[in-house]
Amino acid sequence: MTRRRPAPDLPPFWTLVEEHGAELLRHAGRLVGREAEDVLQEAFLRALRSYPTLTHGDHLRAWLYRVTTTTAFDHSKRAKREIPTSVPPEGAVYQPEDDGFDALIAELPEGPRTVLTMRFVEDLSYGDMAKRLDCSEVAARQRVSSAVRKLRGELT
Amino acid sequence: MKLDPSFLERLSAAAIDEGLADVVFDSVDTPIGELLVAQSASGLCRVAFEDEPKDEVLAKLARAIGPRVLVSHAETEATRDSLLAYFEGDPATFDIGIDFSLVSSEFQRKVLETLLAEVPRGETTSYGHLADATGHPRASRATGRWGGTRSRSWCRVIGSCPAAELSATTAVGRGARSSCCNSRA
Repeated sequence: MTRRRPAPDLPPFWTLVEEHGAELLRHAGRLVGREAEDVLQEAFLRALRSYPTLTHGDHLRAWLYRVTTTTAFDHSKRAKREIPTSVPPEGAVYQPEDDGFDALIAELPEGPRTVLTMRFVEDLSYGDMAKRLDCSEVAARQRVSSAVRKLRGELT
Repeated sequence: MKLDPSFLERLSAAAIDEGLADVVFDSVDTPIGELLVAQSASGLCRVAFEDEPKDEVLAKLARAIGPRVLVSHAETEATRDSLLAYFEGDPATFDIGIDFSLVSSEFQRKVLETLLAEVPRGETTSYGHLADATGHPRASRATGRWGGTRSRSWCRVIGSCPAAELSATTAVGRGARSSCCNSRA
């Protein structure tokens, strides 16, 4: 007999929007510029589609960063193709356990890939990143900013 | 820095269109203070006073109904208007659906449904009569014990003996708003 996993105690989605929305908008802005609001809205809708099926409520901020990043990537791909379509966008059926983030950063050099993973998968603070990378907190921030710029280069 | 309210409104509208919102909420200024109103697809599920911690109210809604809780001014408009009309003394029926998901016991749900259906505005009843109307004539004490912990929502129910009446009055009179609620109920 399989024991059913208890439902995780997820916070109201609104509190995630309230706490992290502004920084996610800035993140989306770094990735897609003026279309940041459109991307963030689509990212939140993707997150809402899968939110009740999450198996745990840990690192939700990092999860939202990954969803926003992959949404920006899909948005840029669609914009490049410029093919009007009524088919739901890629990622409409969003799998929370595989949000596509690993595939998205796979082509980046190891350095940027590592800091993006630390920040948006492991959900480390800049202080913790600094300790692990043996650098200052400011340097850790700069490495993340640089990695995001590289990722944006992949998108455009 | 917060997100622009118009962005939040668009997000909620898109989520509701897709059936992705379990609960939507907003606040409304009333003569008894700012109230938080929350509703699900089934109807109004929570009215909270301003001294109730918003985070706790929303967390309980997320656990009981679903975690996709969003703010929406447009979607709650009819509910807010009904509440304001009620406070202004509009004799029209408070005609919005009620979602009893936060009431876990079948007995308590039945008591509330009976209270709403059979004790109109301006009328009072006793715990004994309420228990009787619910189909549990021997459960007046259980009804009173439960209702006594919810003074604000029970101001149409009074004890049927002097001692119980004193107790009920004390419960209702815990705050100015409760007294106000009692006089308007």
